[in-house]
Amino acid sequence: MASETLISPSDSPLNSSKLLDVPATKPPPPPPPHSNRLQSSKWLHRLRAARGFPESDHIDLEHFLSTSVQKIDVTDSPLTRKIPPPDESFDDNGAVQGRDLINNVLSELFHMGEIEDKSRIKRKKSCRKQHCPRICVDIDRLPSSSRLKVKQVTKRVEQEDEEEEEEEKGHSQTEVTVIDTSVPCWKFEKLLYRSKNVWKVGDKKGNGDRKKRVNDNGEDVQKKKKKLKLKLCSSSKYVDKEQAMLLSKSDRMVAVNEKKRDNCSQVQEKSLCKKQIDEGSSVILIKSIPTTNKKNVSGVSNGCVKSMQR
Amino acid sequence: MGPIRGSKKKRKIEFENGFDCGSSEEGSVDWLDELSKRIVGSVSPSKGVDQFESVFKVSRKTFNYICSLVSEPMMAKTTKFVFLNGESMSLNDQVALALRRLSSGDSLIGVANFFGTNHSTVSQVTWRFVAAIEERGLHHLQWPSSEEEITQIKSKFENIRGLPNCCGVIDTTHIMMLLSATDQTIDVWLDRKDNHSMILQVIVDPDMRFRDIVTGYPGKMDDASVLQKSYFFNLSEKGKRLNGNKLKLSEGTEIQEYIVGDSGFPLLPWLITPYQGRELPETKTEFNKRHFATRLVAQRALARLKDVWRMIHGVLWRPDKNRLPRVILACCILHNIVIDMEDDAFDELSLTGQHDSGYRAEVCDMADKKASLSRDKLALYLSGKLPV
Repeated sequence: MASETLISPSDSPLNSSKLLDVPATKPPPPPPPHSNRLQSSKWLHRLRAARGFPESDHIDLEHFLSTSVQKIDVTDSPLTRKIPPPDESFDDNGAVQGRDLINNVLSELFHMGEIEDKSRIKRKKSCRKQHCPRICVDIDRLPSSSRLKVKQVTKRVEQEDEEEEEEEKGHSQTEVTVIDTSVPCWKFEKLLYRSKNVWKVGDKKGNGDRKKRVNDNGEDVQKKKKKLKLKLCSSSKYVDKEQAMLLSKSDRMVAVNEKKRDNCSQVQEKSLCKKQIDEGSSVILIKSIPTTNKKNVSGVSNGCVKSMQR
Repeated sequence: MGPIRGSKKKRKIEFENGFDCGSSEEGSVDWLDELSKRIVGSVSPSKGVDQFESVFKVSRKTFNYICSLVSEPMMAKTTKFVFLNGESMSLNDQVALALRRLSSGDSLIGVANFFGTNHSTVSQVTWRFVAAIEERGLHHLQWPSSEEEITQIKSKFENIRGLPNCCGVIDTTHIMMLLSATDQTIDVWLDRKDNHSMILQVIVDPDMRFRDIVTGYPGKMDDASVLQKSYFFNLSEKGKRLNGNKLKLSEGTEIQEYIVGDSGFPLLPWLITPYQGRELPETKTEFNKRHFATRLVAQRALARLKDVWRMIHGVLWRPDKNRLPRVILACCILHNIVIDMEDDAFDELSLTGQHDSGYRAEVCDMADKKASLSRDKLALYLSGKLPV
């Protein structure tokens, strides 16, 4: 039964002349391997000729890469002009160098695995600019009073950085729209950071409202900061006053129950700490560095002078 | 379904006259007559004012005032809203629709069927109204600015249960939500009663008027945290708020301006909370009683808010959490407008003290030394034991 249903390839209806007439189902006749080789080499030769490459039996890429430089050397191309005149020892080196050059160009364009970076073409150096540039002050050259202040500043900046990192690492973030009618601009886009029972509120990054950030009086914070910069350039009283206020505040808070204190007071203490960092800005302290050291700490004092002149 | 040709123009003229008429009794009766024909359940002017108030939760007088308040921002945009029969909505229609949406607690489709329009129009009109009322009505919700106003408030609070120099009562409530299980921030909104909710913190005056609100924070936050994140807290800590005249209780004893709140808030010089614990001495028990009675104002105000503006009463189904705070603000402004207009409808509604049923009071044990002393003096003063 099975032999009846089986159709041998020669008897197959696909081979019948009727079906072969149909162009859609007509399979291309298998050309002899030799003629194929000839045909393909012909078009390749034609292509090579059209592009100005000499005809050769070696048509693989590796051979092309190894020999092309030698060939190109002969022609009067701008590349070759820079290469010193060929001599016996140069031929091999030149070929290798050229191959490396092309390999590197190709590896720049495509992912081609490990290629030794021998050539003059190197990857772009990473940007030297800092994301958040800091003022670099040579502490040794400063007078002792300024040195102490600069140390305080750097410490604060580090603390601030640590806090920011903490915010980004372990805390869950939630974007919320908050309405608070105590401020004229009563609507805010906020980022809430939560770590257990401790909540922190930050401004939403990249938000258009950030420009409109207002303080408790509904004043523009950015404007106020500028004003502060100018105002405090010549006085360091602000810092002392602020510190005194904070000391008195921390004295004032008393915990009745130690266990439950964590929940509430941590929030307050942290916010106070943050406030201290915010308001006792690093800029303020640096501004108080005497201008006599202008040459030594040019970056700092120049900024100060600029803002004072504005 | 587009508007019928010609009818739009006719309606526009009607609207232009209609709004003017809105202020006059006759014109608004005409409008109401038209509206009553359209809406299900028919609010007929002949049936009296009561029915209007029961449907829109405001008196005719207040309704007209709200229309005048929001007319400019609501009609500034070119988009026209229409009923299902193609007639365009007048300002009065739009305000009535928005008030119905905010006060009934019905779904979009429910309100749409009631007015004979589609749910999309209900949503858009309500949102436009919310934006307009917060733009033009925010002056109804602000901290007392004049000395006279604050003196009046203090006097009224003292009349309740004798608390002197008190400027307000602080309280919080939860606006419940049903969130999608796929919401990534779902945990943050889960409050202590395992509901998803948004917090509304209010400071209320003796007339149950909201003087300051903070909303938008998730239900997981406790009352003290919300307070500490508020600008009111910042201003008060810096002495920029509640910094008015101190009251002399006895020789050498003064008390600064303060607000009162329950035990969920920290005890601060400007925020007096009740004594905690059981078996307190008589003076402290008496103080707590008076304190509680004064705080009832805020509880009633919040209960009234949720009772009247029922959109924020029940469990909101997957609300836009960025828009919800604005809806809450609009409801608070409307609540204040009703009080400011001395609306009779307001007095007739029953007063319940329940706004957050099932939520037990939180306990915050943070206390300020100076505030603790002030509270003791206040307790002695109220029980008449403060040495003169």
